Amino acid sequence: METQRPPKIQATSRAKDIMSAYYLEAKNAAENGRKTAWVNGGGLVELLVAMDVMPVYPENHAAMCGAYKMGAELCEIAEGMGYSRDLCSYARCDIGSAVTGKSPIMGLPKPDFLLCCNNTCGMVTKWYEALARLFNVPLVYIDTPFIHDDLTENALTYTKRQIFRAIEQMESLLGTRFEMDRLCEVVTHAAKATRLWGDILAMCQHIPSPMTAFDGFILMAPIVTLRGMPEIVDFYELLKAELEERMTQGIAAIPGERYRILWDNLPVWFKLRDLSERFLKLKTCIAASTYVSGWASYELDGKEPIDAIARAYSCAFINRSIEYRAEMLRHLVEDYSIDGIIFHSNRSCRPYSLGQYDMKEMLWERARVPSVLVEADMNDERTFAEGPVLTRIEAFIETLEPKRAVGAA
Amino acid sequence: MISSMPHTQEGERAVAESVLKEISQITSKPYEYARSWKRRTGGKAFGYFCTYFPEEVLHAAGILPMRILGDKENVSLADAHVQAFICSLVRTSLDAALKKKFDFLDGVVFPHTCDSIQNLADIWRRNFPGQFTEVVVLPVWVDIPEAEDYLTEEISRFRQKMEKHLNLRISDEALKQSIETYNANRTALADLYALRRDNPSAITGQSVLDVVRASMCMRKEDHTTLVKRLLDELRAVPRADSNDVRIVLYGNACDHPAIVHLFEEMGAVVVDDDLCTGSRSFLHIEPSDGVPVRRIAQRYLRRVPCPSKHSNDFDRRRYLVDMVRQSNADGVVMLLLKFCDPHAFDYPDLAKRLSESNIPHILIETEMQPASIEQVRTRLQAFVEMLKEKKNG
Repeated sequence: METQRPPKIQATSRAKDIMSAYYLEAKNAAENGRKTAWVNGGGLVELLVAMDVMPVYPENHAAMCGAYKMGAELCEIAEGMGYSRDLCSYARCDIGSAVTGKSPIMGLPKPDFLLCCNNTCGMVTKWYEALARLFNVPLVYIDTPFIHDDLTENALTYTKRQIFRAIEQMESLLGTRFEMDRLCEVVTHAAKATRLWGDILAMCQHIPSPMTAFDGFILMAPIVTLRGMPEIVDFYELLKAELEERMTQGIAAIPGERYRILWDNLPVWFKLRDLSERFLKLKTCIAASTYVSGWASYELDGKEPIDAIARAYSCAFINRSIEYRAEMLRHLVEDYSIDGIIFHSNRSCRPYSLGQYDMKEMLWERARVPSVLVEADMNDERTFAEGPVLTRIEAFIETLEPKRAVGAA
Repeated sequence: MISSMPHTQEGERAVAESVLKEISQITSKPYEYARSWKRRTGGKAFGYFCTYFPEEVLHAAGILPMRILGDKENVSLADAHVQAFICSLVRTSLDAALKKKFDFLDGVVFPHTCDSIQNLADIWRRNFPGQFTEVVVLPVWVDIPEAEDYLTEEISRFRQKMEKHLNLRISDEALKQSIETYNANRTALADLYALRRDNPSAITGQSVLDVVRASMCMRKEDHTTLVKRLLDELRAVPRADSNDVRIVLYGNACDHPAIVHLFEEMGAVVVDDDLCTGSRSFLHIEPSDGVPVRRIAQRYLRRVPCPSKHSNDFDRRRYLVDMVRQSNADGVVMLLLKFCDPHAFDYPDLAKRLSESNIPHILIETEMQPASIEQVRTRLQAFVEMLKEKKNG
């Protein structure tokens, strides 16, 4: 029987255009007299935008290399330099690309400086230190203490003071003055885009869902890389309108949607398309993911921008306890009518993965939702055992009992 | 221990040997030592992770701080909580706890160091809800004044939490006393390292690591007494001229005396180390004045940083090359625990700098569980032979 296909989300091609234009702009930044900074996924990009610095995301670039199945090749280059195969495959990929210029876009433009915030992991600190040595450029660093219980005033003050320090350092690097009004504007744009992204994800609560989290993995690229730019607000308004229209027309991302799944951890970039196909056949909608939701959970406010970004970046969910993350998962399970959770145990991401076994139990205890752990890696296909992973996922889905009457089937 | 003390004179040997024997008994059975300390004193014992935990606060409360440093037994129960791609320090420590090996501990405390220890703390809290656990969230960036203010406040928070939990007051006076005790211990260990650099045949590399390891199991005043007795004896050992190959150890947590013992068999001596179970744990003492909590914060921020910390000014490459030069070493053996991100990230540039400085080096990956050392033996043998040839022509 032929699998019924949903119509494509039109905004996806717009997202691709935006990203192409962005990378072109980044490549031409030096020629246009603009400084370029490499920034990590948890980095305070609003500061860069406010100071008219071109932000470049090695993580987004690595994901692109992964999706184009260049991950293993680039990782091996870094391994040849002495970087252990056990290290993050984003880091290995980008280091491999940086020294050879290889990638789907022929490498990233060289940075004038680096901006790194450790709210995602401790690994990123080490990665950016290595980049600072590789390029011999300054590293602007912000340390957001891990939150085991609640954000303390002490930690917040520490982070805020570092933001002021970072601003001073960038002023002296760039030879320009930082304008607080400009930051207010940028944070306001970022807040708008973030809220829109949250609204868009919330539409996946609808049964059947107009979009899957796998679509989200692609459509999130602008919110990750261009947060704070007004164009992005337009883009997400466009996407939101399209999804509203799909809902009105009853268009499901997975025709005959039968099961609703929550995906934890990063995507498996090099298998994104294959897995999408598989879930389509299984009439299984990945309706939510902690990863895409991460970019909707920043609560920003343009009025007190330093305080707002200090809080928002400190409270990134990956900078919080296993208890907090289990509750986040539970809310997603309830809000998105989730039947089961797939925990991607990601060899490349220890902080995201360590604790998943306990969270699996916690979610069963608290929400009676079953889950499965699958071992993979976001970018290094050499560690991926396709047969066993697919068998495990299919066997898991077979055991699920949808909680509600099936929609379009 | 006779085999490990090959060059000492008969007279001194007896006393030094008895101290080293006492120490090796403690380090071979640290849990037993803590249990008997509790029976003997009626005091409380706390487990702690990493050398970044501000132990002085525990000490000032009369507690025996015992470093949890993995376990020698293979993992069975922790497999249900921790993936195979997490370091064996985390895996075996949790496993030992699940096997109820730490039932005698009155609390377990964590500093923030790396991603894995951070998440272990949460897993621990969930699985041992009846046990007192607390995390002191250290800053990652160690050399900015903002970090010192932050850590001072964070240590104060921990102190208050302990006071409430134990229902006692930890006075500034008691903290000052503990700082003195810790400084004395660190100074004694630094003296031992200085002595060894000067006369490496006086004591084996294995014994030195054993002495440092014991400092993580004992009340520091008791440990200092032992180290001082040992130092008195070792100072009397005549300096032996030797052509032994001189080695510096670098890495993280190495609790494998057997590996170090291999060097002696091969005619090589360890002259210094930059290990988390070695000099990194005790180098740098608290400043002598100021508010006690701030002095403690300053010490942990100014010590030789673990690679999990971020520093503007500290250059590990230069530090290691300087250590090799100052100790007149012939090569570096890098002992790295598998799946340790911070060390693995520093390794390529560190190795490159050593090579550029014409310092031979070898990387040995380790696990906390004792593995077969045969493969390591072959590689080390070849390395030492190469160093011998380079040294003696």
